Amino acid sequence: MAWFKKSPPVADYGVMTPKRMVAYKTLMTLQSLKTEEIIKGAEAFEKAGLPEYGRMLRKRADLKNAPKDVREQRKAILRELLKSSDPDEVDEGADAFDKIGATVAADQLRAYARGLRTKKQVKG
Amino acid sequence: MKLKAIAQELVNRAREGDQNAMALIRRTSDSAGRGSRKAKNAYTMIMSYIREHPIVSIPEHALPKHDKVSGEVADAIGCLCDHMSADWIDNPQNLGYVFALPSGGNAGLMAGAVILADGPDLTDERIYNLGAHILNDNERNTFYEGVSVGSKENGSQRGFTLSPEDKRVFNVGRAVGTARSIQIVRKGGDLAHHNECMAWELG
Repeated sequence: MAWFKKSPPVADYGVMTPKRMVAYKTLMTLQSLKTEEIIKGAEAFEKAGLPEYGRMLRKRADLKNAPKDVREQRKAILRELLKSSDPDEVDEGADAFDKIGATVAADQLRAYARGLRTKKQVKG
Repeated sequence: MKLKAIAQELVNRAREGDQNAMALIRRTSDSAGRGSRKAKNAYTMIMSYIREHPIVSIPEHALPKHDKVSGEVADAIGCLCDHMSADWIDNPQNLGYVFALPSGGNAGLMAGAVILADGPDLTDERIYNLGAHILNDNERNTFYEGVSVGSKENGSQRGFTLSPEDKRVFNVGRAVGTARSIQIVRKGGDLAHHNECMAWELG
């Protein structure tokens, strides 16, 4: 009859503390992590009352499980976007990459789009 | 001043690139390692402040979509756009335009990288020749270091430890390195040339 026992309260429930932010950033950027480790991290964030962060981490773990042809297609899209001279198109692509959890690719594309906009500001 | 406030000030100064603050932290760490009780207390304070206040960089999506540039940087970007060719970039007299880019912050550097990426192939030889025109040995090496870092994540952290002038040269190198990595990716090369983490995500 242990099912009714309350689990111990989590400290700072629902609060993104600086410590958690560091852990989240590490989970989102460290390349040596296995998908199971990222999922464990996601579970920890969900337990801590931060489901949005948990969801992003799960999406990130899914990136590695995508079929090869999907991954190749994503790479091809990124290459095309880095050839584009339309910053709005690049930003749209960045948003799409964000949605699948590829946040670094999205950030790189946004930086590229900003460069295109600055160039356009000067040269019209 | 209380120890906590001193620790806070030291960490903030070190993060802004103050070499004296960095040396003081290092010395405190050494003394703590040798067993000094006072240094141990101070070092604990410093480390707890660092843990509680990590560097929070502004995520790319939170930055404004467009940074305006003007003056010297706008002129340099305009000139790069108008004249970008193999002959132009190989001419040492034009190096000044590339070195004007950091005055516009990230906007100038990224615009420069985009224009350079649209230009002639940034081969190792071309980049080597570009750096060879920098007379100061230390600055030349910093430039090449910036090129090798390009758009990788650790680049911005390296900037914290450089003097303002070295940082400028380093950032010019980063713009050239970023442009080269964009060219490589456009041609179907490994995404890790542009950013290892991005390659992990999509690979």
